[in-house]
Amino acid sequence: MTDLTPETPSPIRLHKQLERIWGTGPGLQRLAAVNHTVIGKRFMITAFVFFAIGGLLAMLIRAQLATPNAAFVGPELYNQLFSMHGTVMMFLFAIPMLEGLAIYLLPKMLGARDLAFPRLTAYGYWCYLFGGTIIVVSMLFGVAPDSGWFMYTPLSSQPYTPGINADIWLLGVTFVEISAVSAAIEITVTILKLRAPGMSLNRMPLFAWYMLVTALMMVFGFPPLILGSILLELERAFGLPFFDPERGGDPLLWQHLFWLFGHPEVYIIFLPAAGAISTMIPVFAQRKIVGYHAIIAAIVALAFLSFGLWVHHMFTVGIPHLALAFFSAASAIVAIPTAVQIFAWLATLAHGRPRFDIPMLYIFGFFVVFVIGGLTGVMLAMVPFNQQAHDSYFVVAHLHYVLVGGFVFPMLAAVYFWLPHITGRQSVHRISVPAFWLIFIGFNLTFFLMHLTGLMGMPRRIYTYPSNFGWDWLNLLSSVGGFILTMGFALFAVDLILQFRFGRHFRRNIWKASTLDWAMPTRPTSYAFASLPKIEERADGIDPDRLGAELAAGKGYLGFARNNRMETLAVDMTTGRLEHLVVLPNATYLPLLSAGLTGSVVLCTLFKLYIGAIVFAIATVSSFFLWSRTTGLTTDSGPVPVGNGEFVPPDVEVDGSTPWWAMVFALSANGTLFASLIFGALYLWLVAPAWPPAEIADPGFWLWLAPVAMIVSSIVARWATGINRQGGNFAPALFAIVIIDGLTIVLISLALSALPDPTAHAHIATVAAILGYGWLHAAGGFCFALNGLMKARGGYVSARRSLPLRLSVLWHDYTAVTGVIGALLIGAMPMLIGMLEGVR
Amino acid sequence: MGEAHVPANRILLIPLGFTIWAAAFVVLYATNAIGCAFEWPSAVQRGMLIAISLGFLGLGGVAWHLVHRHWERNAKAEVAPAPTLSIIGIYGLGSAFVAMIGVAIPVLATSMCI
Ligand code: HEM
Repeated sequence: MTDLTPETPSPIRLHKQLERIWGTGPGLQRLAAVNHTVIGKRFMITAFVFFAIGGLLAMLIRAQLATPNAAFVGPELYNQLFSMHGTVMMFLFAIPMLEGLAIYLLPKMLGARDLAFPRLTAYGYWCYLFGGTIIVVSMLFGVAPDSGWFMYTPLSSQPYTPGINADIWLLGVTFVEISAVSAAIEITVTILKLRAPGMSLNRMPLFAWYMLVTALMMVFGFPPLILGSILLELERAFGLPFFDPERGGDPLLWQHLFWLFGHPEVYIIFLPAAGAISTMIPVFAQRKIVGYHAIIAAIVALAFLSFGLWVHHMFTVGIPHLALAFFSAASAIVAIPTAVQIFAWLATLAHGRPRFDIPMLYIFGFFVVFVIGGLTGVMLAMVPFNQQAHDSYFVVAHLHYVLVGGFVFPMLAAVYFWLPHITGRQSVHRISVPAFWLIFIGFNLTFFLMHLTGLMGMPRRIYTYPSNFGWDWLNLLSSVGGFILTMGFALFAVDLILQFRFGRHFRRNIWKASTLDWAMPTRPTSYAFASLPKIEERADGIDPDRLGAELAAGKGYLGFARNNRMETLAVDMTTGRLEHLVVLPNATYLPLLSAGLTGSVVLCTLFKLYIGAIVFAIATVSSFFLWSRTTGLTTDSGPVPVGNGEFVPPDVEVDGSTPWWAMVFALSANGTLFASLIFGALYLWLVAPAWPPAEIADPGFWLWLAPVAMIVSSIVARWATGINRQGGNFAPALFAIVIIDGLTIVLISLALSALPDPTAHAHIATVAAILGYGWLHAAGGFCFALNGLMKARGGYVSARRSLPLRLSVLWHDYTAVTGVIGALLIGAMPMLIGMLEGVR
Repeated sequence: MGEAHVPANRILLIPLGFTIWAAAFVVLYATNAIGCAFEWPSAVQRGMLIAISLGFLGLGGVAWHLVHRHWERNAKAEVAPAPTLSIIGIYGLGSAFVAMIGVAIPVLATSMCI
């Protein structure tokens, strides 16, 4: 790299140079896109396609339920319809939609040129597309999941769902979830590190705060479901009885794991929508948001409380009374931080000079519908009422009021708000207003009446009903409402197409917003900002018109194109002080390749071709080596100029670079999965029937050698980093790690083979699962050490450029800690089981 | 740019209050589950749960006091975003304290097990 600040060319030349570096090529090269604007749009469009599919399924459901004793679809198909409707809406529409919005908007709002890991963004998208396609295509073959969107065992267990319907759900959803967790890690790191210089945390726009909290909730909320799905698939495919009460398992463990994810999930869906509202309301109220600090405190409170509510989905399963009270109290308390936000929004409108436009209409819809959903939520939080309304249509009404109110209405507002940003055109057609009223009236007609059918005793998930319960006309009206709602959505879709096709072009900042996303040309260019801003005030109070012109002229940071590299800036997490230069990877087909291979693992597992699954798993890991092969620098560079007279080091030469933080959050997600596994083992011990087991799992001597080897490996990994820091030859140390990790794999394999038959009892199965977890981590450590060697051979490691070694240290430390905990638990199990004598 | 530094771990002030809340929640729930599974006498279990609740309330109160005192004495004069982090931390500790009382109140009267 050169020591002189490259010259800023004329704006047009700068645009051409940057476009050449950042742009996505034509034709097939589109498959190599890694750009956040492109991928964000793909996520949102795909999510809308799935929304349409989910909506179509809803219409079929309503057609069937419109009249009593209907024979439009039979019970088997009906089971698939509602299961797929719920699954598609939750996993394939809501989550990806919010991810897409965040991927598209965040770099633009934070003043960066892209997200922290563009290839990961693309990989996440392909995983989502392939996973979603597997799930939806299963419908065409009549083998779609049919055990409800929460897949309760034993209904979803092998004896009661012998086909591949449940496997499709477990594997397909896990595939999509992995994509969601990777997106969450990427969003977290981007918000914490890739902000414009000067954007200290207290200057961050609220949308970024919302997305930070949401992404962290995903990091900690999704692993319990991923674990649950893996355990259930292990039970279905290999007979390990985690959920089988006759062999020491417990169906309630599935419910705990599912809702540990499932309840936070509802807030994961709501919070980004609330973030969009917090961005739009100040624009239309023409004043800054009221209660910036209180809102941040409220969303953090919401995030935590939402993890303490999961048992309110299980109030009727037989849980100690006091525990019911804990969860009931937490469920009621969660309304308070929600209300704080609602009052902050109302206060902003009350203190501002509100002006009306289409997004505000949908925000009005949001207020009405969401508040009703919130109130029925507080009703359902009360145990006695819950026990009456459980599994009735009252719950269906409540969940749609919160999901449609808290997500769909805000997203429709967001579409109208940001579509001009995406298309560069503004709406000229007035069908937006009738579309809104059809949606609003249709929605309330459909779902308000379900409160009544629910209170009159109509259970959810029934394919038909007799005509003597007084539910007939309510159901008919509800179905009529559903079709009015659909007409509204159809009109909405027409409106969008018209806007795409005939909307008038406008100059910048159509809504007079005050956030950075409008300080750029619309449609946005691939590189977002021709030069990066310096932020000197809260980033929701800037003047995009003035700033946008300056940035386009290259007057900010990095107002030049250097060495054909995609460059953006990273800052200190808290103060926003300029910290280092980030060089992002260029467009590549690798994410598509890796996602294709991952999809092949899923398909092979689905069709029980386990050898194929192993081969593709190895191929997937190998493809990740290809990702890593050329990232980084082969020479030390030292600080380089970034404009404005400032010099900073490149990312590979600093300690807290983005990959390092990504590893920290990935291990946090992994740690949650491990904690859930430990919880599962202890839960079964404490409450599952058919304990104590006839046979104790004793992996023998090997059990204790494995964690010792893990500790040694972690010490050697640190030693390798130390040698490198002093400029010495660290390759022998890395070789030693490869050997020790290989030995650990052998030791754990021996421990596994020393176990009694793991299908005999859940105790043995959980011990096998903990050992399997250790095995996979030792294999991961092996790969990290190999990667270090590969990078060292390529010249990518030096005393200054030590990232591959430091990542290996993190992994090995984590493996050692979980290895010790796992071994201690396995070692303590005989004693714990002994304590059960006389009690159970 | 100035050299003033606010360490990244200061961000943890934001979730501090509700982390204490979450710990209290988990410990209360687990103790109740273990107590019911091993059929501890009701009075013993209630006593333990009350002690746990008071312990965590005390912890929350002390944390609130420390953060508030720090804010009054230092943070106002510290470089951004330290004051903001402290303010949000104080809000979080305060609301988590109230939430902790809300969750702990049933410990006083509700029957323990099924
Ligand atoms: C477009 C309008 C919609 C209509 C007419 C509709 C209708 C329905 C109906 C009638 C059921 C109950 C089926 C049964 O219990 O037998 C249902 C279930 C459900 N819906 Fe919707 N829905 C709509 C939109 C949504 C949206 C936007 C979401 C989520 C973002 C959603 C999520 C769910 C879930 C999770 C279930 C539970 C599925 C299960 O019991 O396994 N729905 N929907």
